[in-house]
Parts: sequence; C-alpha cells; structure tokens
Amino acid sequence: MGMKGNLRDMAIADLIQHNCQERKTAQLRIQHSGQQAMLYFEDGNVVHASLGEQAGEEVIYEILRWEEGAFDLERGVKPPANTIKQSWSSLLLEGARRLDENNHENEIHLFQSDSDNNLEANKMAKLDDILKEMSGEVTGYVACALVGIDGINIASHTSSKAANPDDISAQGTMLLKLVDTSVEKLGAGIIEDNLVTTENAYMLMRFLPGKQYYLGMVANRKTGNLGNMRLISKTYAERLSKAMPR
Amino acid sequence: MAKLEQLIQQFRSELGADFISTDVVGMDGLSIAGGSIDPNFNSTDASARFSLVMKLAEKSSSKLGMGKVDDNLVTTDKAYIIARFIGEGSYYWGVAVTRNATLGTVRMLMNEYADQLWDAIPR
Repeated sequence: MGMKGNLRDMAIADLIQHNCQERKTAQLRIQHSGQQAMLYFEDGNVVHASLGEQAGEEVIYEILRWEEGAFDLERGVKPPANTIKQSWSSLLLEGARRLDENNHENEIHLFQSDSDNNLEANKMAKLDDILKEMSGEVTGYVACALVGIDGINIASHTSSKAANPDDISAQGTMLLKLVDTSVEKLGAGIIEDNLVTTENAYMLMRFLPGKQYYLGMVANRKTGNLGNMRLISKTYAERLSKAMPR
Repeated sequence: MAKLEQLIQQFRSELGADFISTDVVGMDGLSIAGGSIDPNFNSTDASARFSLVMKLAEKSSSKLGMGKVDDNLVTTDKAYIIARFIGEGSYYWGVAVTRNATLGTVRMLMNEYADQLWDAIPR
C-alpha cells in the first residue's frame, strides 16, 4: 500500500518524522523541478537517500529546502544501500539549522561570538540577566532558555544541575516546529505558545515576534502554576524581544 | 460507541458557543468519535496531525526524564487546542475551542470527562 501527495500539503520533515516514528520499511520518491530524490526508511530511521550522483545525509539537507513537488511512498521496499548513520531527529535538527543559517545569515552573524563587539556582548549579557530575573518569578522554576528555531540556545539559566537546557531546547524545538506546522496546515491561526504537561513537569514554549526565536521554560509539576507560567512567559518574551541584538 | 458519542455531545453542550471540535483519536491518528462544527477546521486532519504531536511529546518527555505526558496545549490567535492522553495512552482526546473560552473551565471539564470517555471506548 502506498501514499501520494504534494509537498505543499505535507512537508518533507513531516514525511520523514512520520515514517520513522511508525518504523516503516518504505521507499519515498520526491520529484521537484526536474530532479528526483529517493529516500529509504527502515527500523525507525532514514537509512539511505539519493539525488542524482549524490547519496547520504547531504541529500536530506538539500531536499529539506524543497517546498513544492510531488511525492509517492511505497511500503515494504528494502533500502538498496545504507548511506546514512545519523538518527532521523539529528538529521532534521541539522537540516533546520542549515535552513535557518541560509535564511537569516545576517541575523545569525549577530549571535556568533564576536569578542571585539562590546555592544553585542553587553546585549547578550542583558539577555542572561533577564532570564535570571525571570527565574525568580516563576513558581516551581527549573530552567529557561532563549532558543533559536535551529534548537540552539542563545541564553539559558537553570536552577538544577539535573536539567540540561541544551537537551531541553533541542527536544522542545522539534516539538514546537511540529506543532507550528500542524497549526498552520489546519488553518487554526498563528501559534503563540505550546505547553506540555507531564507527570513531573510543565514545559512552555512561547515564540518571540517573527518566530525565529522562542522562550522556553520548565517548571516542576507539583510546585509550578500554569497561570503564573503563561503570564510570566508573556511578559518576559516581550522584554527579551526588545533586548535582542539586531 | 453510542455512549462515547453521547458523552461527546454532553461535553460539547457544556462548552456552548466556544466549542469548535473534539475527537477521540487512536494513536494511529484515526478518530473513533467526535467531529468539528467549524467547516474551516478539518477534524480528520487535526486528529492525524496531533497524533504525531503527541507521539513526539511523549518521546521528548521520556528523553528528558519528565515522565509520562498528560496533555499538550497550543494557544493560537484563534483557538486553544488541547490534546490529552486518555486511559493507558493508546488514545488521546483532542479539543479545540475559541480564544473566548475560559481555559481553566475547559481543562476542568476535560478532567471530569476523561475517565468516562476511556470507560466508554469499546475494548
């Protein structure tokens, strides 16, 4: 059994995620501007990709840029080779990072370490200060971070050594992106925030204007307070947005 | 299944004008009961998409040691969309309401109905 469609309706990242999470063995053919890419899924990962003479991970990064094109999925097709070693989530994160780098090269430059630029350094320090101040206002606070949509922290703060802000941001970014795509495809409006409630924690992610960055925060489920988190995140997202280096 | 539909109708009526859509969805992304009253909100698509969201949320939470996921709440400029696992996690319950809805009330109602919905799913 197969599936056909267009990338306008389902993005390549969604197709990869879906097939990997479902642990499908399948072949995905994508046609875009006269080019044809082939992807193969097995055991919950993309194991092989080809595009013309090219094969492997670089093909994935290349085709993640495609926004239009027809695709068809054929189930049960075994991969003819094994050229990809990375997990699907790492591929998507790296792909997103590269896309972001291209699209916002000038902005990204502002956030790269530049010890000669005191003004930028001061602004970055200010972001850290704002996060630290915010941590004191969140009931049950555990950690918070200002994160680029590539999943990399610009500034972070934590109250617990057990909480790794880099890991939280990487996982949170994948989720926020999937929610954002879903909401957009459903025509359900413009996303403001996403809150996950788990057994042990609340994890809130709120976009800053422009949706290239978001404020993420984690609070303890037992001592945290949802209303407090949402209110504080709204107030501080505005402050952080104003303090961001441009 | 009649009991399930009846509970959904009851839940809908408690939400009143703020109700947009609700579905009880298997983790295969297929709805077993529910629907949307807004022609612009496709509840079949929403069910499929949010099953992926819930799966990823569960995976992320597990990797971060945050325990089992209870629910995922999205706030947009038009709506609140809540997806909540029911029973032992083989189904989730999705609810979309307008931004005029009182979020606390919606969550309270969902707490009230979650176990009843689980009990009404034929097994």
